[in-house]
Amino acid sequence: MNKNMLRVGIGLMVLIGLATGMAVLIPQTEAFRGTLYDPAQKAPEIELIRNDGSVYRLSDQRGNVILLFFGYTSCPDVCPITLSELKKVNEELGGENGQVQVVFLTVDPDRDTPEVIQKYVSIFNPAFIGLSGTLQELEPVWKEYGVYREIEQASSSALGYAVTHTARVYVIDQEGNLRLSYSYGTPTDDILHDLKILLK
Amino acid sequence: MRYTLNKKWMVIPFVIVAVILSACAPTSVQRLQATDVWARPGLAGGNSAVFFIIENPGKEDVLLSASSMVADAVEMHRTSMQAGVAKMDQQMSVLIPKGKTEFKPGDLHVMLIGLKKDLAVGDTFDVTLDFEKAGEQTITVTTLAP
Repeated sequence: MNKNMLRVGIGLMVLIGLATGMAVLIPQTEAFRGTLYDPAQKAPEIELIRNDGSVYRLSDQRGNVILLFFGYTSCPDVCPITLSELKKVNEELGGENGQVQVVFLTVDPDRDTPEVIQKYVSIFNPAFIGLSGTLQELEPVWKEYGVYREIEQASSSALGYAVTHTARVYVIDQEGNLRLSYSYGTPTDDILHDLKILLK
Repeated sequence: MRYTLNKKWMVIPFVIVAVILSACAPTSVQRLQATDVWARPGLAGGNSAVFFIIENPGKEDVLLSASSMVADAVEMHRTSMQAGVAKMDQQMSVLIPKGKTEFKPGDLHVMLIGLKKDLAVGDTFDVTLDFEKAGEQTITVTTLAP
């Protein structure tokens, strides 16, 4: 065998050995697929009265991963699509779904009372939480989460008005930190992938 | 003077009558086919949306309106996303060109406003679609799991 070829062969083997060793020794950082809050920030507090009279306080939910979505029950499309996807995510998580809480918070308090919104989310999953409140209670929450929400009059429609709103899903981790968000239409596999990392 | 009528000329009155009759007959209505018809569940007093695919084998048509006994009002809407913000616009009519037109989640849909009773999974109901050329066509909608 040509000496040069032998040197090249040995060199290649050394390189492969080094690469394999590095892959084993250096732990892989699992990349999230959602939009990451880096660094993670404390999730703004949410404190609202539920339909059964109990108080829902976000800071009391430590230990759970929260999937938070802002929408309204008269929304014919984007909100039910998103809730259907979160339902699917919840089902796919199987035994781990007890640690994941889906919260649907209204952007239409005039129509969505705590009773209406809880009944609505229960169509998707009875464990989902529907929250509403007064405009004074909700406005700071929308603002802190960066939710755009605007009433659009629709005089020719029986709806009377529609609510144009941000359609992101926010993820709050077990320590109460805002970790990730997803745009509308993010594949459920991506959300599942990230939740499995958080639940490890 | 005697005239003998050639047999082929005797056919002419029948042809004329046939042409007149065909002109007077109603124009055959083009059939539009609706498939994959479904709706989301909804609560009494709330809303739902109906989705379907219209197959138009003929000339362009226009969907003028939709109606149903299950809701106080039935309207056509289109959802759109603009820079991450969900928006919904009422459609006063919807063009149905030759080929497929999809009423699908995140896009066009027939909206049921003010449901008269809960729409549960498995429930079926009728929606009548009124087309400019094809006229009224009733479709049976099945409520599917969200």
